[in-house]
Amino acid sequence: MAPAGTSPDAGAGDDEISDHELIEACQKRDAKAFETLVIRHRGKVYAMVQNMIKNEADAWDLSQEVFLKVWKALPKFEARAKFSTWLYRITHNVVYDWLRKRKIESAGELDDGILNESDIAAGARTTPTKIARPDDALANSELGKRINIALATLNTEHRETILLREVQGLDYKEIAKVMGCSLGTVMSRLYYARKKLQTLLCDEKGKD
Amino acid sequence: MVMKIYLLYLVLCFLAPSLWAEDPGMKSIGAMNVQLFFATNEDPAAAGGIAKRVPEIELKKLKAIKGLEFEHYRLMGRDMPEILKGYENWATPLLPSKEILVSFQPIRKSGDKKLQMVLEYWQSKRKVFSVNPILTMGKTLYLVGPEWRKGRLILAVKIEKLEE
Amino acid sequence: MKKEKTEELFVKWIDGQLASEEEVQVVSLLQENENLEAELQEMKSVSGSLAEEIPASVDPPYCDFFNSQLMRKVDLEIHSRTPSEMRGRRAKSFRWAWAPVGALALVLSFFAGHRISRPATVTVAQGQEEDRLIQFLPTVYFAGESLKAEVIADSDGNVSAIFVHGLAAIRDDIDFATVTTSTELPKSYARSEARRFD
Repeated sequence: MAPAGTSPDAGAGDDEISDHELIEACQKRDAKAFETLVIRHRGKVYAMVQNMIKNEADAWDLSQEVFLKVWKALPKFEARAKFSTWLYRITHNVVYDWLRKRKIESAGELDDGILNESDIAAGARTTPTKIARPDDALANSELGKRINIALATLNTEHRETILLREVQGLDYKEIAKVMGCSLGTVMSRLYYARKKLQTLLCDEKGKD
Repeated sequence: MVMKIYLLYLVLCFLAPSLWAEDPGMKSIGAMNVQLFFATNEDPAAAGGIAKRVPEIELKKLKAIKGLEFEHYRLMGRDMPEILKGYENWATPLLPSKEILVSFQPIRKSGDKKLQMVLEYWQSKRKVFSVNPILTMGKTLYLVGPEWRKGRLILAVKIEKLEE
Repeated sequence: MKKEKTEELFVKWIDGQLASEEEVQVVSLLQENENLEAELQEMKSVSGSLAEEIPASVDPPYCDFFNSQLMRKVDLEIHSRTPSEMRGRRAKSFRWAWAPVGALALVLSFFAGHRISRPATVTVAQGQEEDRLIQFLPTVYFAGESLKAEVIADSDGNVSAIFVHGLAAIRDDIDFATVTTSTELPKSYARSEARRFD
């Protein structure tokens, strides 16, 4: 087994199989390896999609679509490329296709289709524990709430740029690859997004 | 000799379709029975001309469900689509109306005569909710739906047939 | 200095990624505008907050179900590709020679006692938790926040009814005897109908 950290997609932990090895196995149509890859990366994909479209039902479907596209496209993936960048690129394409179809306004209006868990009544034999949803957890933080509201005012491209940079930690070149734009465009969008958030959030702070 | 080759050729033509691979997802593993009932404590004639009386055996099952103690029941429609192993299947119990639809897709077998599925309830061409029950062949799952004409529409979903 | 260039410098300043000559340029810009540094500091602080408040990774709800559904689609994709590849290959290679080759296969199989048919390749995975079937509660997903579900189980622990509260009523003037068009419904509906009724 190749030691972890020797390739861009080393994966998590020294004992675990690297992303690179998993990808090689997937390219030989090993579904088990693919499932491991999904478990490792689904959190990032789901978080990114959910932050972009703010709709749990569709985030679920779109995340699945991302991985299905990944599975289909893996034979063409070049091992020397960085898997996570490629994964974000596919996520970007899936989200934008969805947005184009839904024609969501850049002002960030939410669509009416948020999925919730059911409240199971006492008629059932066992009652499962209610799992806190990610935006429930966020809502617990006042600042988190305000940040989400402020993010929703950005248009899609600005929102994506700043999420990829600040939340997902991609560098400028990676963001450019993911979004299919130039480095200059990434810088400009980042600047604008930060400026707008600063105006909104710091103004609010001033009012408090 | 020529005749024998010709006969072989004919037999081959007959067998040719089996040479081609089948899509395993298209395999039918059973059939669903999806019925739509109208339940009301008011005049059951409100259900309209397409409504039929409900057989006694079905009435007993309906009334046995806690919360479903309506006075009158009418059968609005039924559909019995196949369950295809690998595809999303649809039931249109109110055909020709598509106001209420149910889609279902098998996930996995869960023991003898049990199948876990994803069921989706569609109303007015929008998905309203989805659920992933384990259904036992022959046992009905009732989905108590929307109000209509001073009554309630109830979907009864059952696996009618399940292959081994 | 061009606007794009200054924006780039400010972005890099916030991220601590200025090259030495760029640092000189920024210092000069900061000196020209006394409020600029405070503004950039605020932008930096907002960036930091974003990183703290928004999680980079969130597992989808009911992630086991997410995985099983996804792997099912992968499974279907594997098996849907293979037959068409086979068809493609066969269409090419057997176009002129398939009859005699097939005839030979038939003859050999007759003598060998095998059938000429592809074996079934897909098996549905068996449930792993059969002991806990009785206590299995389905998960209900809604497309509206105002909806709630109440699950009723029978004495054997099987779910017998699901009450959905908050569903929009169907208008009383809707007549179910009228034909509704299939447009606006998913393609899978059209395909399902085509399979059944064409």
